[in-house]
Amino acid sequence: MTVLRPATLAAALAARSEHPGALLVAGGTDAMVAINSGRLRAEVTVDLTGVGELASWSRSGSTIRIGSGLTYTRLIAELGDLCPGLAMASRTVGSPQIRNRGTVGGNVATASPAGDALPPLVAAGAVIELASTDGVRRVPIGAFLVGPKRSLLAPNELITAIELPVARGPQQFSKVGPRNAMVIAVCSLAVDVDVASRRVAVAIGSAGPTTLRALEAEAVASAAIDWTTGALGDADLARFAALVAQAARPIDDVRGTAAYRRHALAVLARRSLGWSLEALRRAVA
Amino acid sequence: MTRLVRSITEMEGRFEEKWVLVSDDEPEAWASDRPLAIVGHETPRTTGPTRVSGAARYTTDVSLPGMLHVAALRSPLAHGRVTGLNREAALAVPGVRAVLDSTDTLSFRSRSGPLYAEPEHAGALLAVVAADTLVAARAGVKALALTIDPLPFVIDVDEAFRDQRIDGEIAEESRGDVDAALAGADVRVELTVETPTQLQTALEPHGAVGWWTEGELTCWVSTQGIFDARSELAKRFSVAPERVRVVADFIGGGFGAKQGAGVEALLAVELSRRTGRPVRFINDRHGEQLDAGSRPATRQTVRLGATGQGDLVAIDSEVLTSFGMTGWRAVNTPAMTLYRCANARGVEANLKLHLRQGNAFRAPMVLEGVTAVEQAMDELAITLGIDPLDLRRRNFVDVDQPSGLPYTSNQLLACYDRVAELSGWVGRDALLEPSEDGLLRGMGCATQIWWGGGGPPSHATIRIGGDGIATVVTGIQDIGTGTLTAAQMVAAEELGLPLDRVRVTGGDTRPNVYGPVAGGSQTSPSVLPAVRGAAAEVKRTLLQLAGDVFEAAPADLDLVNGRFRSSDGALDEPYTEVTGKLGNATVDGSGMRGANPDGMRANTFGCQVAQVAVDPGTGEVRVEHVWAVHDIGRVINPLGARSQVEGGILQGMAFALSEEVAFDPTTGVPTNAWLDDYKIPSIADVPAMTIAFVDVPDTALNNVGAKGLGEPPIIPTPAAIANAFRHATGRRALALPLTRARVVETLA
Repeated sequence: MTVLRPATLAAALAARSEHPGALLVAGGTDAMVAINSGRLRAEVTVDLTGVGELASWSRSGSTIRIGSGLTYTRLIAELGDLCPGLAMASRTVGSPQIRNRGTVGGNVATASPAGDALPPLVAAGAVIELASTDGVRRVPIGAFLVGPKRSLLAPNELITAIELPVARGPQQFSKVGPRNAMVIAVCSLAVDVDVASRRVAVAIGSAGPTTLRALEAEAVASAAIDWTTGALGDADLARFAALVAQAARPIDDVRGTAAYRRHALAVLARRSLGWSLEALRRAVA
Repeated sequence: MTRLVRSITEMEGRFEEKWVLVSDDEPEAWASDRPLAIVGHETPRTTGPTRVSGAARYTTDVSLPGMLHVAALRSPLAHGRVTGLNREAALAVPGVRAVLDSTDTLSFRSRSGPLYAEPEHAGALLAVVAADTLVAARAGVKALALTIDPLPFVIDVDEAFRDQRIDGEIAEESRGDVDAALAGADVRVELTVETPTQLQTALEPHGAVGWWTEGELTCWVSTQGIFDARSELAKRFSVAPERVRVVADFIGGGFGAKQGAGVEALLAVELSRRTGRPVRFINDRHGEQLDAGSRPATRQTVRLGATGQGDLVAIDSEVLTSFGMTGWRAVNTPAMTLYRCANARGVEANLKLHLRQGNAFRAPMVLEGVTAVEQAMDELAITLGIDPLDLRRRNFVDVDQPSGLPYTSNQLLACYDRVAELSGWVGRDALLEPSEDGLLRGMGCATQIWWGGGGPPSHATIRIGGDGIATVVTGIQDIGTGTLTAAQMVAAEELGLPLDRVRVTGGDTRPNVYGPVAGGSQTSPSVLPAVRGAAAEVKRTLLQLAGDVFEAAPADLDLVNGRFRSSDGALDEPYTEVTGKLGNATVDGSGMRGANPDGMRANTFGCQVAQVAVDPGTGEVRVEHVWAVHDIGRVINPLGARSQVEGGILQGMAFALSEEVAFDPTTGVPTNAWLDDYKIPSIADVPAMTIAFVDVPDTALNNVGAKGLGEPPIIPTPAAIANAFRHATGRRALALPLTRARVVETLA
């Protein structure tokens, strides 16, 4: 096995171009598990941890640009105010050791339906920046994630950054697992309330082939909320929750049944939107 | 004087009469009111820094020059017939030195296996490959290119029961007339509950390093019983026991599953004998979770009959266990012993299933039985409208009913009172008021019973020399419970020396000082009296020598905290004034555990209260607080004892909330035999724990007054949690664990 350790983005892109399909390792929290269990063999591995350009974030107006190599630990410490939903999700990832190593870019690249960072990114309408020696392209995350562990990442490309708007209102993330830490989500849910454009976005994790939006639920909530006060009737909240559950496409697996996942998503949806609007009402008052 | 007497010994409720060596010089039990300088005071374990710094050498860390590594081929089916194994291809892999499968004639005898041609459970060993490196061994396993034909299998309890796949005899025990008593009872309750298959999941997997040489067989084994391992190796390989040395310096947990040598040691030694090299066979985690044993699942129906005042008149218990093809029967022990009841019956059958053979797991069978009986008692209390703790107090019994014998000590009523006081039990209904966080709260209790009196044989020797250090040699192994620290404390107490002047060894059969298997909660009550006996002998000699040195009457001297003192206080000299004159001479003492008192039963007791918070939306159950009060006789080391209880509570909580082997019904193969999907608790799940002991020495049992604590703390936790869930929600889940989905279904 060959391990390449580029120190610059240019070198990383060159390596990727020279060895299309090489295994990319950032935090290694997915890759090393797969290698150790024998599920993954790679002739060439590109270790991205030496590429400093990937491990930073910046703000430009109302847009945050998160380098794909930014660890969860740094994200939690530095972006809690600007991207609260993503920070909440990051706090639920693994253990402190895993959060010290794991990166948001890795989570996006793995494209697991259970990826914790994905629902808040999908709800926020994040854009994935992909680079190769041929140039740079930007793909909305909803289009980027095409199936379980499948994405639009081309064999010669790297995820260089994730762009998302600074929170435009309350955000929530919640997750159900069989214990309180170190769990893969049985199901998860992100709510993103955009007060300026009077729009609610909701994304569902671990209950479908990929992270799902619940568009009908979003439309119902966005229309029913009194945006000047943050009020929402109980019936509308219940309808929102039911539509979220309907939008899920869960399966029965070792972690949970489809029926339980739908039930729990309705509960998470009702609570998450409820908490978000409570925050909104406090802000208005 | 040393004598041989006939006496009854006990291990996990199995009684046996045998010859026991006793000493007339054994010290009298410490009086209950005698103040002790070291025993009973919090003492950090001696090996703590070694363990946490990574310096401790476990079996898995043993590395010898030329050592071969073993990889295992396991059955991918619950039942099958091996049709092809390419041994030549495996042997052709560079670095591979030996391959064994079911066609090899092994040099040790085994009732079945250990390498199977027709495996009867998923994960059964089919072949092992030894190679210079683990990577090469794994490549060898792959090269074997197993082909296997599936055979029909049964893992479903209902199917097995319908087809009457019963293992051996159905066990039945009874007293009185249960049917008539049930029919005539003022109040009856009936409850059917299921308990899950739970895996021991020791941090260190099963494993051994075997080294067969001309002169000696040396085996490092992660085992709970070095002397059992030695006997097993000696017998199986027809070697004299004194030519077998078993070493277990540190053991990363066992929880009952690591008895004797184990198949890993047998195969490592076999491979070493064949290759002339030391051989290391350590289970990988998947192999461990598939094939190291389990607490078998049960389905239990309990019927209780009582008078309107709450006096039990009938206990009827029917149990189905899922041990695999064969197993033992003890689930009904609590039904037959826990409460005073003239009419009691227990029926117990094991179903023959294509599952890995169950084995001992911390309070085997008794935890399962208590989990059902104590939930039925809770239902009875609710039906009668009686406080659940009062119902238990009302039916307290101070004799072992099956034998009619009294207990050596029984502080259960004091446990009830103390746990009620600590937990605020009488005010528990206040938890039912709606709370701001929307969670449903409740409190439940459950009683614990277990043996844990220990017994002979157990030996210790102590030697002190010119350096003034007393070295205690035991034959026990510290599987993580801190028993060596307890032995150090007892020795220092009896000798009258500071703790740091005493060293304790164990985990090695070479000195040939026998210690019992770490099982049945017997280590402390077995070995500590032997240590005290050895210390008393050394002290007697030291006082004689002090008499010589100080020209005083030995009877007028005492050794206290490292100083010789005369009764009038005129003499007060450091003990090194005497030991310093020994030069290369040594003073030796030996001690042995005496017989248990005739006509009595030794048991431990306790009660735990759990408080849970249930999220009715997601089905999450959070254990917020557990209060535990146990009667284990004299508490030797309160710090170690509390730590032991904490571990028991967490393991019991996991049984109640998240641990459960899931099987693919179409293949019979466990689907979660990994640590990522088999959920033991994380630190974030740990509840608040309040732990106390009714610290009354059992002076009838042994000379230190201690009973065991390995098993007791796990026993009542699951039932206390299930009863707290019932209190919080008004519903009872008919199966454990209380997973999110099961809770949502139960509350629907």
